[in-house]
Amino acid sequence: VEVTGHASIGQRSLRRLRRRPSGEPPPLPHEIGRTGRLLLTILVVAAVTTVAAILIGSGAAAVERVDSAFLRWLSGFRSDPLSDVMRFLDGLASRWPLRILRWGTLLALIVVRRWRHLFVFVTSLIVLELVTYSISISVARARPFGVEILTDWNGFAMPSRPIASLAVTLFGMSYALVPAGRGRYTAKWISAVVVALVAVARIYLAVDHVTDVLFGALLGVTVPIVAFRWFAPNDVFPVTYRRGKTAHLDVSGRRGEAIVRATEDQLGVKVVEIKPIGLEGSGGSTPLRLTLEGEEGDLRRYAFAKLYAKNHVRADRWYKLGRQILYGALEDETPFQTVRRFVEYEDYTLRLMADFGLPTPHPYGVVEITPEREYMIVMEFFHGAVELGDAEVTEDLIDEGMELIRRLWESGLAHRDIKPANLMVQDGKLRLIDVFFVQVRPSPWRQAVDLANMMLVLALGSDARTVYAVAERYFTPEEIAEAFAATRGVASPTQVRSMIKRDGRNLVDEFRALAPHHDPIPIQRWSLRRVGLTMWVVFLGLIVVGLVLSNWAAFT
Amino acid sequence: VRRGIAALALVTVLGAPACQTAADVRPDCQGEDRVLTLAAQAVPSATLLPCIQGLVSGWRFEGAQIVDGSSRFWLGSDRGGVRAVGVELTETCDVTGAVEVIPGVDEAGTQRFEEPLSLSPAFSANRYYTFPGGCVTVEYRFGTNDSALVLQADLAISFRPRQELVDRLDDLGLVLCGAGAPDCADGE
Repeated sequence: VEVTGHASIGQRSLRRLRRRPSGEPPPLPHEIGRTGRLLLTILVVAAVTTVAAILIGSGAAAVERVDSAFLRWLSGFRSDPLSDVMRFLDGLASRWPLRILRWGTLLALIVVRRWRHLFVFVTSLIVLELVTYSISISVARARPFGVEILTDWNGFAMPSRPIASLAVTLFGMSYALVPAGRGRYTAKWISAVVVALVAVARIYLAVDHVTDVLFGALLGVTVPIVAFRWFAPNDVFPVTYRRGKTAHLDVSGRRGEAIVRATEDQLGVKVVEIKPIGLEGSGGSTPLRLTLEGEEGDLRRYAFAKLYAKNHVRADRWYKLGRQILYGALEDETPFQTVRRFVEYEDYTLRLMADFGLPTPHPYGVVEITPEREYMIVMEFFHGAVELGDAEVTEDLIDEGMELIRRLWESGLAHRDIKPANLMVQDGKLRLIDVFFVQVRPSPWRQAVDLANMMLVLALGSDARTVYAVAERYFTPEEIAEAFAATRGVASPTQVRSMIKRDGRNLVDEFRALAPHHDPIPIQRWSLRRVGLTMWVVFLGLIVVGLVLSNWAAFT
Repeated sequence: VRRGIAALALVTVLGAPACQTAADVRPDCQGEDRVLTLAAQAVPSATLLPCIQGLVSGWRFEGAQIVDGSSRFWLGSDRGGVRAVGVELTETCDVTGAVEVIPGVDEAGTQRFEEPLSLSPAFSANRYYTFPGGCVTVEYRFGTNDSALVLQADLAISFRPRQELVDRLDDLGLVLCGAGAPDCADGE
């Protein structure tokens, strides 16, 4: 195999790389930030001291006397017009405004398909309601004493649940809907001002004590900030309104800097530019072209990289679960458990393919961005290559394609994702990329499907008869007949199916007509596991729907 | 295992608010005053506060809801069913259609009205207690026609004078606004 990659990567064993010492943070640490830590600390200290003071007899009376004295003093400033203004402000934290804000946010997140933010937002609401409710019945603090309460109330006073609900909604919206930067900063300030105004109103109306609103606000602000920073950090899941798949990670900002630093430390090369490429053809990772430090015009300056994060592992898990329910276990549907295993497997398949002399990118190694959460696999970049769909499909190219499948068969491998986006043409030579789905010792069905998909892709740029004639050099007519008997529905990648549809020719039938007759090979696989899994998913779905419906009032 | 834990956590988180509405906010006649104090704030004019004296075997407390203007709690029974008895304190109530009867010895200071609704197939009736500044409505909604359960429920429900709470809080330097207390600051 000709290695055309960057020289310094190939010679990295001669260089001493910088090893991250024990205790040093990784290139992109997973953290909640200084504000998050500060808020959590204040919350814990405030919660412990306040709850202890209220639950311990003499402390409780002292806190009540101080709070009540302040409210009585404040009541001296009451007037009818001012009370009307305060009642209006208090109404902002009532059920309907919150419902509108929450439902609006949910709908907006569904429209922009930002599922993770939706999940974190809903979870923040649920957790906050649960926590404030539990605290309120544990502390069981009465409403203020010695002063007339001027508005409606519900249940115990500590913490102020309306203030907490308003804060979690507004701050949750700021993190879920507003892009990071000046916009979010402004949104958070506006949220803080609104929460403060409503808090002042509730204190003026003597429906809450000062300590109730402070505790409520602290909870309502801390829960969404910590939740979003931990479960949907902006570096990994940025809020943007650009078009594109949600699986793709933002490689600018802190992550971009981390990639540069980590690649230099771990592979010994300096990245000068990171450019996302081929995003439309990739849903399972974030593909990147890395420009490495070197001479201008040196083709070895480039490397191809794929960034994997935990959401890709989850997507893989759901994809495989869906396949098992829809079709049964067509092949190995065991999901990966960690991102590390994800990249380790791809690195392994790249090296395996190279060992068998297949025209795949040469692997350069794996870069750790955030331990157990985010890794990048780096490999050779086919500079100047174009997708097969954009290249002229000559008889030589068809021959290479058929030979490639034959070699896969001989090596006991299946690529499992043969489509134009994964077949590149570089200097007239066929290259195969994206080996993540490669399987060792695949089923005969899968090998046959690889053959049919390759023939279909090549026929899209030529015609069925020519491809069939070349295929006969490498495969028997019975093998070709088996390939097209096995190829139906999901057996072909979506891109191949849509291109055939656009092309207009019924290429599958044309190939079947050229090959000997073969009974169709069914793709539905029934097993007890499939039935059980389906029933389990339906059962869980019903439980969740039932629980949500039965607790609807608690969340709206 | 992790998926099982996640499913369990989901069930716990979603189920918790529905499961928790209660045992911790029980308005007992003896012991902690926190719940009764809140009930007294809900209806500041009421001079008596309904509370739970004690539950006989087969009965259970099933939750409370105290909001500005009313204080409610429910009792359930293994024979009478879920929320077989509902007790609500309000400032006033409509006793039209109910018949006045002589109150029990432990109901001194109240006027008692009975309003039978049905005897069979399930027993259903309302009872009203009126007193200065308040009214307590007791709704009996049994799943059977066993009217003897009324006697068991009556053993559980009693009244506590608001003045006791006013005095106790006064000792702590706090004023429980409403009946029996000095005027509270309203500022307007």
